[in-house]
Amino acid sequence: MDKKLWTSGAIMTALLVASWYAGLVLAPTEIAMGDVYRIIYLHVPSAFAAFTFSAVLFGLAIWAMRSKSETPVRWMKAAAEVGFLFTVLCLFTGSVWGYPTWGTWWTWDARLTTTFVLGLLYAGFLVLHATLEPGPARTKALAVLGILIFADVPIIYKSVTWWRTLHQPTDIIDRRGENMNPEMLQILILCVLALIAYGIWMMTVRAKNLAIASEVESASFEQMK
Amino acid sequence: METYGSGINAFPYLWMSFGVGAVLIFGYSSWLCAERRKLARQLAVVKKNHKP
Repeated sequence: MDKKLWTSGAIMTALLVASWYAGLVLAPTEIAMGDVYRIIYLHVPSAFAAFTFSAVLFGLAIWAMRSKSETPVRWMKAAAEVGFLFTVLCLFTGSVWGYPTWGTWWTWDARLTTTFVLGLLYAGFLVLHATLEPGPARTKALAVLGILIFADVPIIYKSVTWWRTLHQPTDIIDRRGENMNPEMLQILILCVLALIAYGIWMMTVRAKNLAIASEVESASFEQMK
Repeated sequence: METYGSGINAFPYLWMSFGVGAVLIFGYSSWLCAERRKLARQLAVVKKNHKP
């Protein structure tokens, strides 16, 4: 692997590990929930990252619809894989946090259900990519699904205000974290940025891998002729 | 001050969350690096064979 990718990967890993250290060790303990609240430093960043990659997917879907090349499709696949990973992580950490604080691992609450739907849509995207033959029909289908994935995000975001839910309201963006200790908020922002940066690195490596795989495939095909 | 949270042993929940998080994130990126090395080898072989 080229040196640039190794170096950037090492920097991203160091940043992510440092942000987790800050969340787990340096951040103050929350008065009501105790130390279990520290799951926030992974749960909220994975939610933000899942949303970010749905926005990236949306942009790529627009590009794919306008382009005849397979390049945007490869980038869409990479973004969907990373988005799926973060959605699964968000659901898992939410469930682990829910048990000690709500008394249940899972409930069909509006926020949880709409996030679960996001995971299903990401999974559907990957299944569709794997099963359809490459070509304009697949590109169109994937682009439409990519747009649908992004359309789910405002519903997830607003679910806590539109419906009566067990999940807490959106404190960080709507109220600019005024309910949060500034030190906790700064560490949370660091964790969000570190995870999104790591996600961008993973998406870039995956998209380049897919491009090399396609190059190897076409070169092998040429040799067989 | 005695609160609801002070009665919870947070360690298993934090271990579960960050442990699974680390396995998912670093597992996926390790797989990406291994895939890149494999593809680079394949590409080198294909290019070598392609030389006239």
